[in-house]
Amino acid sequence: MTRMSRSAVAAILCAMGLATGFAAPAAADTYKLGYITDLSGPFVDTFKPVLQGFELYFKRVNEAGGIDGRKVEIVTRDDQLNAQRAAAHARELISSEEVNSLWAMSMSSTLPGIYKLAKRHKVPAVSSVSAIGMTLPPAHDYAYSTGNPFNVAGEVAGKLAAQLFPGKGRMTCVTIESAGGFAACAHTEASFKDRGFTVEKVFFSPRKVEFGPLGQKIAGTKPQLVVTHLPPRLTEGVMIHTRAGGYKGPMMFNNVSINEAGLIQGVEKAGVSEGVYTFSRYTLAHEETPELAEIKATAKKFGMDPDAIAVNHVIGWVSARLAEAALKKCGWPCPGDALNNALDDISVDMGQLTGGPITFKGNDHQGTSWWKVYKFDGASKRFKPVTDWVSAPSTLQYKIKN
Amino acid sequence: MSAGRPDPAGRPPTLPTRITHRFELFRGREWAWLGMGAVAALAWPLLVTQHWLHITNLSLIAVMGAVGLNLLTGNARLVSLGQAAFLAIGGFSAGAMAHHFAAPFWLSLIVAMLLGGLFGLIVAIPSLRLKALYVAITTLALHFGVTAAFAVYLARVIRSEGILIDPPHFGFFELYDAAPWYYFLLVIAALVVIGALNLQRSHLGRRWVAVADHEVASAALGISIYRAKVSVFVITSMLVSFAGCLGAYYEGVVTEGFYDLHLAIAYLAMIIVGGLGSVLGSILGAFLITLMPYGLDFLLKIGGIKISAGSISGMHSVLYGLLIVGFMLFEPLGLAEIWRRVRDYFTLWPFKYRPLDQLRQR
Amino acid sequence: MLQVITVLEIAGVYALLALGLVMIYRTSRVLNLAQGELAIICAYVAAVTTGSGFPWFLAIPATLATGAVAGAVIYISTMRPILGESPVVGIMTTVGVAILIRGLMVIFFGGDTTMLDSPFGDTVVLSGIEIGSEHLFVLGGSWGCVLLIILFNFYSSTGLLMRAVSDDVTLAAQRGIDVDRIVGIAWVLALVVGAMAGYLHGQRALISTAATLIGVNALIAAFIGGMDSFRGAIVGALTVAVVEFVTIQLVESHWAEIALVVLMLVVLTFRPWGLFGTVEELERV
Repeated sequence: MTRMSRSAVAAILCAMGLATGFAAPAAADTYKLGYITDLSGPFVDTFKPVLQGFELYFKRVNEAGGIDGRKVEIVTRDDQLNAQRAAAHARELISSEEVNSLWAMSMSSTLPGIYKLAKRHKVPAVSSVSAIGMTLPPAHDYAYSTGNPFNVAGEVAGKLAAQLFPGKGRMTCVTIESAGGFAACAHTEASFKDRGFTVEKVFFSPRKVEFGPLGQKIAGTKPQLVVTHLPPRLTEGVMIHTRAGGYKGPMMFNNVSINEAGLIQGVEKAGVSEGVYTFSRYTLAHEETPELAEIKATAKKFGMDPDAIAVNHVIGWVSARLAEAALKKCGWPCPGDALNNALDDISVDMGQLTGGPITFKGNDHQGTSWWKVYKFDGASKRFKPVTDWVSAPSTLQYKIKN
Repeated sequence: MSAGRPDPAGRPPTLPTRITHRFELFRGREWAWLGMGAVAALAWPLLVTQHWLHITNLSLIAVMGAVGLNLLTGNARLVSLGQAAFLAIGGFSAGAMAHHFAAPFWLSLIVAMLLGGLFGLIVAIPSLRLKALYVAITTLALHFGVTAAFAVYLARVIRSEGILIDPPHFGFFELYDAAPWYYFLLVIAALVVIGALNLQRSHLGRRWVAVADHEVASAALGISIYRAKVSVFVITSMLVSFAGCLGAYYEGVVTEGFYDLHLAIAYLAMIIVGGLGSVLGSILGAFLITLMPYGLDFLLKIGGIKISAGSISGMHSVLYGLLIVGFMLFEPLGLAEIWRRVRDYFTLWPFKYRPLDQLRQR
Repeated sequence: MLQVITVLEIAGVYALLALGLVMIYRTSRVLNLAQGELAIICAYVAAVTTGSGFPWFLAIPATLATGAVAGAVIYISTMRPILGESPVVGIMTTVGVAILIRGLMVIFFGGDTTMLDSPFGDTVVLSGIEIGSEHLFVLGGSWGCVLLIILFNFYSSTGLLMRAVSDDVTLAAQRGIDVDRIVGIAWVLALVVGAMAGYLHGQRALISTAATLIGVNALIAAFIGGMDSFRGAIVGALTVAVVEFVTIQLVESHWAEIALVVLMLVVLTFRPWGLFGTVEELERV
């Protein structure tokens, strides 16, 4: 055998090995849902429990026989908070794993790419933590969200504050320097100005690790109320350093999937337990409702500590309930296009986990959301509701000039 | 400059001579290999799934970026941590041109190259007065400056988390699916590779190496240090921005978060693992480093090993780190050198060394 | 008052990291790009030790020991083999070390974000202003360590040897100084100091993979001051802290990053050796 042909045979064998190795697995008789989230970035303690909530729900569904006898399989990918990796995973999930939908997603920066792919491949994508303008009316096709749209949260903040802190005053809105943050504070400003407040805005870089100067800047605006729209951990950082900067008044945090334990840790480190408020579109796990008891019982059954259940699990659970309802409506077989038709006009009651049903209709892929304020109770170390649910339509009330 | 101090152990310097006069992959009858390679390259989309084709495309884009970085860091010995910044300049030019002017594909590419060149010039100016060491820090500074500026641009001007870019059109044909992109990128990457090989042999490429080896000696020989450094920065920045622009069109979306320091380090890993100063090395490194995370996931999957998704990305980083350190310490010439040795082993077998009359050909 | 304390706290942490960079650069002419990563992984160790119930006077030695071991391991395994090679090799190797450590952080600590509890009581009232005790601790701890390093460098025999090696390595070797040992000691010390900086950073801010960026600010400080000058590192750290603080107060935090970068580029354009660095001689052909 000459050198040439020997190498050629090797090359051909190699190519054959590759081709068989890379071949796609055959589809089974299960619903396959794609789940993309961040499992290793700085926000892992936010996104991981959301995934656990989502998985718990479907573990229970599968154990009870699945949806009309068909099991639900969740294929999870870690995007490391990186938009390119998120997009690559979305492509892979759609083309190789043949999932019929994408769920959760991580930070808002990963969303535009995924929504774009989703539309292109006719597979619905439903974000559950972050939310961006693409799901608000007029929504993009195939783009849905049960998450926390910063601009809607900004508008509802004014409504909620008016109930709790009647009268006029000075407020400071704190957020990150990003499109979502910018919109959040612009809408917060509009809704508070409408109610007679004067408004200051403080932006900071999401990469910031030094909170000291920032806390002093916030305290230096001499506010009577501070509202933040920040990812978890940055919220705690800002709280601690604003307190250290000398501000002891009320602070109201937009609860973007911030788990209660983390927030309490921040409160303890800040040393001021009075005047800590958080407003959330999901029921905090410190409340007692039948649905929360159900989540905790399921957690216990599958070997998880029920006391570790937090609002993040609630978020995952709610989106799993939405997924189940959509799959049921879709029937079998349920390719992405059919599931999209099911999601396009759906309303799922979440009991007391949210203030009202999750509704998608026509070009509104966000639906009305309901929000509630919790106050930290220093004695019992728990968050207790201080308002009722307040509704916020997905059509924005205030127009912000570009 | 790089001569530094005497080596205590009295060993010969281990870094490569940074001119490879010949594209080492193909010689003489190895043109047959080239033909086979071409056939395999053309048939590749038929052999693999969409997912792996997508990763191949990402690798091809990485090849262009790595070739650019290798000219700068491998040949001219200017360590750049600003790779992500230049890719971002290309990506954001594509985004901005598409968003504000609905510009066609080719125009975005030209603008990306011009802007990249301009920023290359801006970094080159302070670097002229600095030693190689300082170039690392000025390019790092550029990285933070540029990404912060783009974050502000997205937040204040675009008011979105990212800019969506429509796929390029050629007449009625829309460049969207992975297979057409693959052929398109293959052609462009081949052109870039041939261009870089020629550049290395040109008077410009030789000047870069001369200046990197000894500034004072090169100046004494009449080489303008100023021109050499400025030209290498401008040309490689243009190339990298071009790759960034292509990447943005390929992804169809530009976000700020993608262009992080991790990306710049991944490109450094490519050229170190591939081989500093070698175009072949840039290609091998770009493919290896782009494939690595997906390959690892794939291996774990077929191996049936369950590791929490979080640890996997930690393992990716550890692997990058080990590869960089390992190649730096044990094989500074990179995969290109390993490839040469393996090839020699097979072509010379059963002999260990080349006959004397062939030695001069190397 | 509060502002001054904050600036000094930040500057203290940067100064410690920058001094570590300077120590390493002076003896081995390597730019350690992994300083921030090493500091933060040590802070994680501190968080784990205090989290599992150990008091601060045990947590600090554990943290510093991690730094020392890391320094020794990195020096022996990666730096000694490349001693005397071109600076490009050194930079690349530390980049590799940095990314390696980042991966270890994710594997061992889940890339989680944590905080350290203050070792002392709650707040102290100082001339009418309420200050958290941890801030005073960071202030005292960081500047105390800075002072110790200066004293060590100028008044101890090892410090003298280190200065000799940094002035002229060949001459030092010819005079019988064990260069290998001295450079090794410099690495270990630099990383112990870095570990302290990581611990103090954790006292006043968040520990996360993103926090490794403090290393970049320390690099900027060291470059502004001059890579081979202790005085320069301290002045550079103060400058960086002041510029950062003032830009955040007056403009916005994004501009703080850009301002630091511009400041450094301006300094390097006009004084490439930094404010206090040694002007390096022209090479001979």
